[in-house]
Amino acid sequence: MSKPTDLVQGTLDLLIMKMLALEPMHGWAISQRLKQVSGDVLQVSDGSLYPALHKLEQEGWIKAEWAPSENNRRAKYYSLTRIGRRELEKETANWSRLSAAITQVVRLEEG
Amino acid sequence: MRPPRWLYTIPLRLRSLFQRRRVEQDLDDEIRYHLERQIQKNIDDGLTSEEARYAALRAMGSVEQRKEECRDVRKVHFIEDVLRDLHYAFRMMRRNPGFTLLTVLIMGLGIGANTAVFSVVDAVLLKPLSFYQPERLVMVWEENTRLGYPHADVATGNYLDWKEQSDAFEDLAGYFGNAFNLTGEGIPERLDGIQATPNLFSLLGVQPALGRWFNSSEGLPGQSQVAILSYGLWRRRFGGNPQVVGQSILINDQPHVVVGVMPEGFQFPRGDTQLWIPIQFPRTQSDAAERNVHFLRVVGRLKPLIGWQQAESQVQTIARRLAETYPVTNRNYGALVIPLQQEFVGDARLSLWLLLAASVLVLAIACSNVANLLVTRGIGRTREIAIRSALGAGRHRVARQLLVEGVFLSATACAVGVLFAVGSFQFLDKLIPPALSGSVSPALDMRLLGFAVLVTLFSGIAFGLAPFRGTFRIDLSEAFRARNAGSAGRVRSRAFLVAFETALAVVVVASTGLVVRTMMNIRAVDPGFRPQNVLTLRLELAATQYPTVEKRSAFHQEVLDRVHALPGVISAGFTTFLPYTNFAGTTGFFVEGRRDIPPTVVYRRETSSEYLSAIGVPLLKGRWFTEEDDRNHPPVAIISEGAARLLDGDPIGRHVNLGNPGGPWLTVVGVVGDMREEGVELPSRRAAAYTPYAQSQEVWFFNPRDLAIRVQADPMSLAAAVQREVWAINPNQTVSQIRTLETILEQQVSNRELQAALLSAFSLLSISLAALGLYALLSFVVEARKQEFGVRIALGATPRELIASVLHQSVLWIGNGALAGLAITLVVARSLSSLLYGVEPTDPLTLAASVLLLFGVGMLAALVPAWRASRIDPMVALRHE
Repeated sequence: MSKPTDLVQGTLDLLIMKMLALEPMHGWAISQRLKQVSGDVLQVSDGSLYPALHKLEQEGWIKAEWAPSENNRRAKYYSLTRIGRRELEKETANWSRLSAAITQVVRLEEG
Repeated sequence: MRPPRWLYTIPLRLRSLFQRRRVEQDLDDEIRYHLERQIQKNIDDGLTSEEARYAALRAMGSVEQRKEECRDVRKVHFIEDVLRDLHYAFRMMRRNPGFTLLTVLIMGLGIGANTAVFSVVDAVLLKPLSFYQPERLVMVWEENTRLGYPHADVATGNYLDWKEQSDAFEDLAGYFGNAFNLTGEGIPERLDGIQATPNLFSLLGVQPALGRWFNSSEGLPGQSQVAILSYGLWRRRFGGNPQVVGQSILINDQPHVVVGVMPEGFQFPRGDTQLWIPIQFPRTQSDAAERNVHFLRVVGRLKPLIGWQQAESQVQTIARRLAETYPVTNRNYGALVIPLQQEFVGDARLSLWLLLAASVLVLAIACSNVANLLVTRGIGRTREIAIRSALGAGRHRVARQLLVEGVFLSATACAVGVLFAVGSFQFLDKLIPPALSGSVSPALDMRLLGFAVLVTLFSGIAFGLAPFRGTFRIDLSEAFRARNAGSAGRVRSRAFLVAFETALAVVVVASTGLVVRTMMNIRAVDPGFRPQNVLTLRLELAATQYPTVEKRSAFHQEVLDRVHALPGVISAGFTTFLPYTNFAGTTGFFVEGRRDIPPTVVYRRETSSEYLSAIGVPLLKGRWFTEEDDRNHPPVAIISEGAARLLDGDPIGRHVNLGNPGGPWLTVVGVVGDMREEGVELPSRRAAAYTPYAQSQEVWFFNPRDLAIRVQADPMSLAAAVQREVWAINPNQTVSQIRTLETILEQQVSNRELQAALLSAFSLLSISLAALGLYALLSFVVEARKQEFGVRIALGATPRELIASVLHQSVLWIGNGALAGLAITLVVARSLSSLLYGVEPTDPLTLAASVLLLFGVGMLAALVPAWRASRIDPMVALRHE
């Protein structure tokens, strides 16, 4: 079995923030959504999700609050802060630039 | 607007720190929630509950590791670790109360001594004077070293010329000290004050608390008379009533309008100045009047960016020009400029630096001592540290823990030290030079606390890390195997610490020895009079009430008669000035048949007949003044030994003249011993001549004002009675400066005495610490070599041999330290020479005594461990392994 593609450093942060930009979510929901969206291409282990979430929280880009979840249990919901939204825009722009550049390079090699 | 990032992050950090349990609980809940949902989902997907659980856990990886990763991102690890270290340090301290107490006490004394001395240094030397831009204030003096006045008061004419011709100063002001009778309501008071040119206050740049400065016309003759009060006088005498400004008070029986009250803490030129009266010096036609009488003190404000040296060379140029223009009055008169701070601090500077240096040495000794103790303990903790290292504690992690322990210990010591320093403030006031006393005092303020904290941190780091050096050279496996204590390198570095302590202690002890010997030499000096059992006081007569010599002498005679009638009075007499109370009052001494130009300058005193015998001046030749020496008899004089030397041959019967070659000649009837008028340490620069008050021709400066009464018992017990008698004659007469002659003498040496006492305390401390250090080290060595000694005893070594071998080692350590200390002392003692009297800075006796003292105490400290070594039971020592 081939190893899953390693996530480029910081990509997980970007994905999480992008999801939280749409609506507040708790950890499990984020993990489900990640699997759903990216299929098997990006394998995010449940283990690396939580340290990433906590790191983003400590940076002040996302914030968390406890709220009743869809199964009526208390769950920790994360949402994007205003400076987080700003960070997301910046990172998205970075990502586009970076991926465009990489794409360019990869094509060159093919040619 | 975008909220700043810290708005989000700070509360999170605080929460991580202070609500640790909540945060941990949250983390737990969050992970558990995830797992439960995942298990539920897996079951829904068709797995058995066992499989579902397993799959969920596998997806997460190690739960504890994930949690740790989450904790890592909280960024408060460092603080948490330090808090844990502190907690740990506190536990260590509690577990070793003896060690803790000893360390805190040693360090507390070291820090306390430093803080206490620094409080005075700070108040006197470092804090600026409380004037506007005080660094630009200077004193300007005249100087006539030829005549014996290196530091002379200024003649008004010269002051005016400086003021006009110099452009280095923004302004110059003149003043002279005076004392005033304040009468009216309440008891009559004699107040020290000054008469000053009206620009003095604007020059100093201090606004009055109430009222105004003098204006430029005040102080001119014919103007209404005004005064400014000190804050203290205003509170004390006038109850702090603001209505006083604008009112008239009686000063020297003249009404003066109070125009202002200076703020609290303002003092110029001295702490006891309570009154300022304006005076001006309009130009006169007579050069002699303007330039021959030197009584002004001149204070100046330099223009910005002008240095005092620059100003000095300028006034010196002007003085040279004046000497050419007015050769009769100004020949040999130069000028000098001294910064005001330096003028005020005077000789105290060096002695304060000496004390600070000594206290720093004591602290260094204390630090190395505690370092030594910590090394000892560090060895005991080798196993502990080895275990921690084996469990993965990083090098810096262990270092940090030791550091935190060191700083924690010294912080506790700091608290003790500051308390100690604050407690000593009241004793330290004597170290403050008189010009500053009152306005500055050692105080617990931020600067002082800052200094204490700095000293503490420094010493905490210094001794906290000392054990660290050895710690990582430990071979881990060896550390676990056995108590392999005394490695040679460790002993060597500790022996160095002991030698270092000894060296510093020798420096402190030797300096103390020099200062103490100075003190003893000064004490042994014969001042030229017998100060015991003499009560003194000052009766300043108001010119309005006593305008003639007759009235004055009648008053003085009545006082003497009444005093003589008091029980226990042996003799009593008046004089112009008691010794040490005034260094002025000099006159030219002319001898008949000789033309000395310029004449020798001598002190001149007008005395009543019994004064000289009352203060115990020895009569060497001739006779005392008698009741007969009055205006109906030919004028006579008694001269001191020094003046008699100016006359060749037998002085008795010779004719001399004081200050006025044209005036009547005085016949010398007696010769008395020279007194040390200027201070016990100095042989008087000038001789003295005395004339009988009963022959005084005029009301003038030399009329007597000071009364000396020799009594049988305690002089002060008579004070109230004398005061009563004076007021019985004149209820408005002021009586001031009531004290004993011994007190006057004592004040000459009191700051030296305190200095010697402090240094002695420092010495004692450093000797004890050095001895303690040696004792601790030797005890450790003996303990570590127990087996060896046991074997040697078993092989037949005598106790004497073992003692000798231990002592031999300590002789080496102490000897090297003491020699190094001696070398340092020889180098640094030279800078003390101006503090010493009658003893050379390299005095062999003092230095040898200091070295021997340290050596002796060191040997005593070494004896106990050496004796212990000789008493080792070989069986016990050998069985030990």
